[in-house]
Amino acid sequence: MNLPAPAIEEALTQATAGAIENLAFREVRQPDDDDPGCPVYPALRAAIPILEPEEGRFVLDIPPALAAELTGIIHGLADAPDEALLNDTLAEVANTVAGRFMAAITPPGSAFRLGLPDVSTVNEGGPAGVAITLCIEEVCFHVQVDGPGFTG
Amino acid sequence: MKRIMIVDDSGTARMFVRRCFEIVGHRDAGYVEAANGEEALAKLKDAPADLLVTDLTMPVMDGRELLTRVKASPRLTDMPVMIVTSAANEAAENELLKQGAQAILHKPVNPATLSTALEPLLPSDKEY
Repeated sequence: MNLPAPAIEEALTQATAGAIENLAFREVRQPDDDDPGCPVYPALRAAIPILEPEEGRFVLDIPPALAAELTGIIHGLADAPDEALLNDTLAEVANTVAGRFMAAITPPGSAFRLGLPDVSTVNEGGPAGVAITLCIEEVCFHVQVDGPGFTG
Repeated sequence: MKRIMIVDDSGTARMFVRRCFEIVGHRDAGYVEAANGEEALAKLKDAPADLLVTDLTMPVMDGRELLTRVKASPRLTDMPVMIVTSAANEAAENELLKQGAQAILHKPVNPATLSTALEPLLPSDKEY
């Protein structure tokens, strides 16, 4: 894709904000000076392979409590979601964000293809790539793409 | 009663689509859900649905293969197919329309866009 990092970051931000605001009606913002540290890890990670037009990977790392909150909103739950529902919801949120992101950066006339999402628990961020930090209220999360086509 | 089949490997996505259908007036429809194309074809064995709504990226059998099989089946070919996906841009959408999809919506689907897309495919029985 060979897009500059700021263009990738902007596309990631727009895709994430649009998807989460539509799915869970929560406003997504960029962190400011009042967000010291903004700890994200340990986190739930939804990773989606990017298969075409370039190989890469989309990653959403989100604190479990925020993932549970979003799951509760999306499903209208009164109680905490179980692990299966949490993972399914996080995968679907990541899938929606990744699709919006790829649709925004793929050249007109070209198609893109994503693989199936995988959800796991991680204690630190992924390998080098283009990453952004975003917040919902006071809680931060990371969105990243990495791979040969997404070096920025 | 209309029969609407929703095919997506994510239960969350199926719930979201179904909720949108209910909001736009199809509360009394009969909903049939499947987690992939193979499961959908098995559930369509006895009778076609009034509308098939499918994701594209799924394990076992994806939405493109499901669309191909539906349009190749004399029994199912007239069943309208709506694609609801996050994995499509204009180029991919043109290809899907050529393959016989009647409508393509982007995730997350919302009641307004669903209602517009449904008008020619599945008129609502109710005012809302």
